[in-house]
Amino acid sequence: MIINMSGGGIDNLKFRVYAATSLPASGKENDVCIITSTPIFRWEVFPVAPTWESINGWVYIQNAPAYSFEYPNVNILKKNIIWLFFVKCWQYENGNWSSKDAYQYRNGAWVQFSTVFRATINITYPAGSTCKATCGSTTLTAPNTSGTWACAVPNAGTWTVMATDGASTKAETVDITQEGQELSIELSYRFYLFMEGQGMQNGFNFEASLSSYTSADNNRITYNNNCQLWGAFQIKPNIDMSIYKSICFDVDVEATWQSGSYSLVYGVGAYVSSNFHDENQGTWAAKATSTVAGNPDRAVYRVDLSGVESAQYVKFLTVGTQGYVYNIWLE
Amino acid sequence: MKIYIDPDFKCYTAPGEGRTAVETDFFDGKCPAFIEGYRFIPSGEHWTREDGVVFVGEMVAPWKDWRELDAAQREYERQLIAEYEQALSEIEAALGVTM
Repeated sequence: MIINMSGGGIDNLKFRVYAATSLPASGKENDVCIITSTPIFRWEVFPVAPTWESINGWVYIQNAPAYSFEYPNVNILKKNIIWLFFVKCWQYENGNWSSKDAYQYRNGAWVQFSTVFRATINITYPAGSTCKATCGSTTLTAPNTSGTWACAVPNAGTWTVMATDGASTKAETVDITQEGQELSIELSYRFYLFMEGQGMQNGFNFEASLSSYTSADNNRITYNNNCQLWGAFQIKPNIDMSIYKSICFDVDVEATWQSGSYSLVYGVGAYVSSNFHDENQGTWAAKATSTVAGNPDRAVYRVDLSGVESAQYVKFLTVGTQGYVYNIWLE
Repeated sequence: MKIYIDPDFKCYTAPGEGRTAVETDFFDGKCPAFIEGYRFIPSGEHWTREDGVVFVGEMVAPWKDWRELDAAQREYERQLIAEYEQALSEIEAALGVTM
């Protein structure tokens, strides 16, 4: 946008800047109208986007930066004519700079030179939860608890997206850097049953099937089973799996014995009252089996719980293998 | 027992176009309704869930609500027991056994 202010004397170089909630039918030549419900505290023109703290209501009209001698941001062409090239309008609201729809009246018509910042964070979160997006003092709330939300954010910055369902919370941050940006984020709750360095979650108990082969301290669960017996553990009590989609075991397999069969079997199912082993097939609701050999890197072993909508026990079985379980969580 | 899986690793009790036969003892004694609510990923293969999470085989997990599958299985077992009891009663009657 190029504005042209002509007339005699310095008084004629003025132009009006005002706020309105909707665009007036007409204006005076060079008027600038900003669509906002926040009163304008003060305004100024400057060639860079504002990033600093300001006073609520302060308006900042950004003119184009000077690209070169041939393309300056202010150009005095001849007596009483100044050209400014407006590209964006901002207003400081609730601790953030918000871009605004802004117009200039030129040659008898409104011409838009600034649009409200539009970027979208497509959020997937556990259905039934509340979800909020926060940047500075601006907080947006999902209109429902459906589990998906196309969150239209009004300004660039680091946005914290948080889902909450009772005591379960999950938050992640995303950086919005430019207008029109669209990105996706998925939030899922991670509930630790066993955490490295902290041991079992309060209210849960580790129960070894063969304690000589499987034990736990606050740092890790150790299984050391170089024979064909099933060293195993269960976690009591059972857990409502309906809000989780996966059970995960962070395992470091140290060794396997090649002379016999070896495997890890892990998942969720019914409680088994005495020495349980993989022949108790009917007791599993969902499970996976790993026969990885040797000394592989520490890894996360997962089982899908998408269809497990009921309370189940977490179970882990070993045979012919030795290693450690550092973390167990539901997500 | 032998089951059949489609390209999405969903289980079936009968062969069909695009289905692969696999052997597993996980479903021994289970009714068709139970089996066909599960997904079976054989060892050495992997399945990517719709949210992008990858699961490696061997894994067996329900894709239908497990409560429905469990209810179907319990009803199947109840009917089996009823059939066995009926057959036993008929044998006892034929042999003139009285309790």
